[in-house]
Amino acid sequence: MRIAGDTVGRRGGLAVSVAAVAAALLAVHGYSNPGSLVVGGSGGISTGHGSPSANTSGGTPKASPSAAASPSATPRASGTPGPLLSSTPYASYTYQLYPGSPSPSTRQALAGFTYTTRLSGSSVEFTLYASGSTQSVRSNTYPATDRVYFIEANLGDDSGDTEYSFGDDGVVVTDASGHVVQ
Amino acid sequence: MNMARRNRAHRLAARGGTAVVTARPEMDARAAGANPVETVRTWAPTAARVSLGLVLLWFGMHELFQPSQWTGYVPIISQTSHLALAMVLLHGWLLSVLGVALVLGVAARLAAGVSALLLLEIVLSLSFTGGVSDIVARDLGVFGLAVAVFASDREMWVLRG
Repeated sequence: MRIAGDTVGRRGGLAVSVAAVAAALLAVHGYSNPGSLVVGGSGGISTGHGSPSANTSGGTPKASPSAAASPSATPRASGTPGPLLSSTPYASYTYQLYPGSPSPSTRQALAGFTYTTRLSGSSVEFTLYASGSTQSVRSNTYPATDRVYFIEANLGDDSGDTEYSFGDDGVVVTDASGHVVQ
Repeated sequence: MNMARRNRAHRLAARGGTAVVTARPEMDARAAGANPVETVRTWAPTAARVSLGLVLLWFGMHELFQPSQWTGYVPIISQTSHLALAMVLLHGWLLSVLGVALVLGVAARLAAGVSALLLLEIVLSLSFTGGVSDIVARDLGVFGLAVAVFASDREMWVLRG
């Protein structure tokens, strides 16, 4: 058989047809499971908020110092913190947003996003925006002693100030001791 | 390949004749035997075709498995819409099929031609929406590879029959 000048044999045609059907099945699967959109969602790192696997640190349950110390901020569902951020696979992809000012690498990772922090007493209000949008993709209040990090798993999808893939971006919050709380 | 024969065919074609330059890779491979430059010349089109196929296959699979990570690239349409998701999946399907065709060498020129058009669309779309960037430069290189594969007439490792 000839297609646009190329000769396609029976085996070749069969191989490409099988690939086409397999890819179509994957597409159907992909439509119902499009993957976790981390920003503004709950995907990614497990936290101390009711996740059974996160209620222990190194196998030993521990109390959260900041949870008890900051009653005015967003109440935490349980007194147990999540894992140490530094022990998670995301550790090498985190960029600190609060406290302090963003480093050059943080600004690069933040391509496509802006954020504001507003200190109010013993708590801080953190809001993340998609660039060019006035609607926040994430807004929350945390104890002022907490740390807020931005996660960008792949800088290759950032170009200038444009973020092409929001699926690998996210925000994670730790308490003062580095345990993930959100 | 016998150069005299190829030149004769080219001359015929230039005069408006019907000669078709047909690659004889197996002869090229034998001729290349001891000459490294000739070996590279013989195998380069195949390496380019398979490489392009693997690149397309990788991106196609990624788009099928994690479509939500690619909806940001769909121009105009909101990236959170179902339409953007469907378009990414369709794109992923097409890339996967083209990738398989290129790797196996089935209708390779057609696959390379369609790939070149797809990549040109991507380069233009990204240039208009985000300006000329590192990503655009990278995709421009892959577009060039697709054009080279499309123009190539020396193919080895193809699934015949």
